[in-house]
Amino acid sequence: MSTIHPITQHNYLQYLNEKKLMGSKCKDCGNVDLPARAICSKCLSINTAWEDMTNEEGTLSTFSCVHVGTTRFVKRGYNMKNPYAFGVVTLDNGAAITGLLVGVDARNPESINIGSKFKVNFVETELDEEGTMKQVDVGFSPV
Amino acid sequence: MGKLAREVSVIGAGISKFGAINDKLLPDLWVEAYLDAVDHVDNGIEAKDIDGGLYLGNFTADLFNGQGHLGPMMAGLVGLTPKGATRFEGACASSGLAFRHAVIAIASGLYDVACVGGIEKMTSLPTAGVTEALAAASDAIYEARVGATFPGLYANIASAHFKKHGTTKEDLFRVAIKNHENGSLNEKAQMPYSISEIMNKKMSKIKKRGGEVPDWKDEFEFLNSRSNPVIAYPLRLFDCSLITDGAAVVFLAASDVARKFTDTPIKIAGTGQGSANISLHDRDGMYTSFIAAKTAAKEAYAMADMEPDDIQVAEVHDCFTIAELVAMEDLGFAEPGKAAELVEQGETRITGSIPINTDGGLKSKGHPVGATGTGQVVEIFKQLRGIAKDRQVGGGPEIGLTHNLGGSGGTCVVNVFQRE
Ligand SMILES: [Zn+2]
Repeated sequence: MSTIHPITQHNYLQYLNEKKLMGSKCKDCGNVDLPARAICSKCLSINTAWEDMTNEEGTLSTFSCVHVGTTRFVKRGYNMKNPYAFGVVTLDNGAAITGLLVGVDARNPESINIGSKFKVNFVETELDEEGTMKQVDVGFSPV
Repeated sequence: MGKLAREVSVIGAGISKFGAINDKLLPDLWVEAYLDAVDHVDNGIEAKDIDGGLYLGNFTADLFNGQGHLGPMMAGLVGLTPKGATRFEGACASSGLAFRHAVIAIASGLYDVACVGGIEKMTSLPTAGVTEALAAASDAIYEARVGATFPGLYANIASAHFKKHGTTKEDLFRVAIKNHENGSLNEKAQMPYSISEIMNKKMSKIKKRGGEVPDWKDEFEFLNSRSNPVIAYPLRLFDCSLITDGAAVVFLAASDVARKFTDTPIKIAGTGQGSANISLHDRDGMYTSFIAAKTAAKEAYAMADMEPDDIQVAEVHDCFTIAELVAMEDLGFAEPGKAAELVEQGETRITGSIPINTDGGLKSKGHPVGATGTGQVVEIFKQLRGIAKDRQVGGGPEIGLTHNLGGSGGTCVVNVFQRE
């Protein structure tokens, strides 16, 4: 996709499926939003542009290790004895987003620390048996 | 900040039994609560008195029961058709919204009397389906898709609160213990047992089976054991509210006609509403407090010309134990990070200085999400009227508050009530 595409949630998800984490930056006040917003969340300017945040690092703001998951996660084999972790990571540029935490020990939540460094690490799920339909979600792994 | 153009009062309120009610469908729960509310209008009320029709809160009968278009459906069952009947949706704050908008309609002068209802039947789906339906109150793409469940989102809030304020799991246990103690005095509660009763039952069950009886010395050891499994760290089973069927109904009247129905109307002294981006990550790093709740509280206190200290009894939205602590801080009952101390000192018990969730709260009474907001009003009505029986707050409280939160804090309605 080229950057002439309008800033929409639809296009944000298209980028995500290409493993690009695309936020937006306001040309008037400099604020960054993630997911990208057509209207700046701070000054409400419509003078915003795509901002590639794929290679940003950040810190863990908060998290949980989920033992009773959503149907999709239960189908993937997560359960009471095999939890998964998700949380909010605040990128060094100030934008924050919820993502799966991969490469952490969700069975040992004391080992996961708020304030520690994480980097973007996309999670790919095959939506059908043949593997032709893929969904990419936001994930983070420890730096 | 404006005032209501004319005063509005609660003239009667009623509630169905809360629980997994297998022999009642959604309309049956509604009729049960409606008749209970009619019973609580001193001089009686008939459908023809209710010119404003029905304001109905429901989160998602669409997903739970495959039924939409609930307003006229419920209105028709109690004779309110052909008057207006409108459904309101704001996740767990749905009937808080219905209540507030009925107040505003009467205050505008358009109507004199209105019926407010809240209904939800959740137990017709298996737990996985309930989790899925509730997840629709979070952001489906940016939260639910990466594994967020409701316990998981409130667990994120708890983790942040633990880190920022040093809150502990024991602080959360104390909220559950207090709410179950209150709920044990409420015949309408889904789980009307204290935690120690539940613990003792569990022990005798194990004994009967011939298993090794655990040597729990008190509720804390029980709550710290594997019998209280982690649902979403750091939250455990007894930190979570219940999956519930239930309904609640409140009748409102303009204060100048309220005395036709009762000598003791309960005036809405203040009402406020707030909103926030529904994703936790989209709240400017605010994870231990809800801007929607603070906004609603500020508006309600200003309208009532009152301070947090004036409140004598409160119903707050304890969908999870951590939510009760956050609510106390957002409402100004405690400084940020200090709510747990008030709970530990017993100040939020029925005998304390600021009794909270005297009916057992969402934790013990139950949480039929769309009915919760009106259910809270029913309890404050009872407390201010002095008819709360075994759980009545002493000293004849005159001022009460309700705090109804939707989702993980996207919507909040706060009301202040005063006995005339
Ligand atoms: Zn801007």
